[in-house]
Amino acid sequence: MIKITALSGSGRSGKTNSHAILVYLKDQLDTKQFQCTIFNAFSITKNQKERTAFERDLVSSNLLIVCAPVYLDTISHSLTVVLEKLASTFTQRELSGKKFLTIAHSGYTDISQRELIIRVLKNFAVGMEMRYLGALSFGGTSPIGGRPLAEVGYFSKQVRNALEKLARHFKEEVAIPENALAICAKKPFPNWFACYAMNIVMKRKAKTKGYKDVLYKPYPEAS
Amino acid sequence: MSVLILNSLTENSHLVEEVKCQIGKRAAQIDLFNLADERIQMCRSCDRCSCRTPGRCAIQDKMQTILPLWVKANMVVLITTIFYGTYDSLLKKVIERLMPLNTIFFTVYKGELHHRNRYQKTPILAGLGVTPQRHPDESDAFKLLIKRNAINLFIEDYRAEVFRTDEAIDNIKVKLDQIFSER
Repeated sequence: MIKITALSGSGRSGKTNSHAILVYLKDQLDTKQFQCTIFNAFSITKNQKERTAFERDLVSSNLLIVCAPVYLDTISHSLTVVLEKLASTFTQRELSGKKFLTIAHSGYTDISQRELIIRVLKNFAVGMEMRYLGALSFGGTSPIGGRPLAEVGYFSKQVRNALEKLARHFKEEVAIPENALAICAKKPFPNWFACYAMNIVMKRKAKTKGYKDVLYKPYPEAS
Repeated sequence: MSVLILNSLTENSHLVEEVKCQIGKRAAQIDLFNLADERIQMCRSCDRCSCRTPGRCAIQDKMQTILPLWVKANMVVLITTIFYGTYDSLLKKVIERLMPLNTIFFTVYKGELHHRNRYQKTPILAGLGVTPQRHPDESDAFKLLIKRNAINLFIEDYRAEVFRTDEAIDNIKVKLDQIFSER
């Protein structure tokens, strides 16, 4: 039995895209071979019991998967707090040799917008003497909206394909399969399309909800 | 010139004192916030700042003072301990509260998709990171973070410098002089 600790790095609790991605991956894993427990960074920062449960689970697990959304180019505040606490609580020896895998995702489609988050998490894993296995990286994940991936349809197809390929290759000496990485390298849709479509969605949202002057500037600018 | 300094260091007062000293020679107004002493909550992702109360954060805390100063500033200085290439959690919490500076609409900027900025004028961004040298890549990653944040906030002029925890005061002075000199 291979034990996996999965950490959703979202700055919110409940139904988040990170949680949906981890639940889908967990569902793909053979339950006889793998035991995967999902934790949420926000909940860990707010609840001491949750933090203790997470740390206990991590101590006995073989692999830590961190699924992290991009919050202004880097990991969320909640995930930063959790990793800071791990770094101060655990000695390198305690985490040494455990495997570490990153799943980075963002609403924005450009790979460059997820580059730093992957680097930070790799630096953390290596710094804690964990065995870094690599990263999957998905752009254009906003349409997931925290829903189960299977419900999202076309807009989660790329994510589901990559996670299925990852799960199929998930053995103790796991490495991210090339075909899953190849899926991540594809941009789900071009920027001009995303920009055009999202602006229509936002205009409609503002109109239907009666929001006025959404471009308002409440504070005086620099002279 | 108006300068906003957001400092999340709880130690290493040499650096902060020297920053104040160097900026004091150049700026008419300095607003310094030691984030460890301020009551600042984390972003609730409630979206009010983009729609219901455009440009204003719904949370009533110190960010109500910091946000207008950010908009008014000619230069913003971020001082942080580098955590494997990113900000420490104290500063990261403040950075996530900058959402009111963006609008709900999107644009393509420098070839990437971004939220459109609310204000036309943006300050110079200076990121000063103190590295405990936990990982050889953290300095380069931090410099990339400042560059990436500058793009995200539509800032054209950004500067980043890294200091060791035991950096000699003379080195600090030289590095800061380069950071704050006119370009």
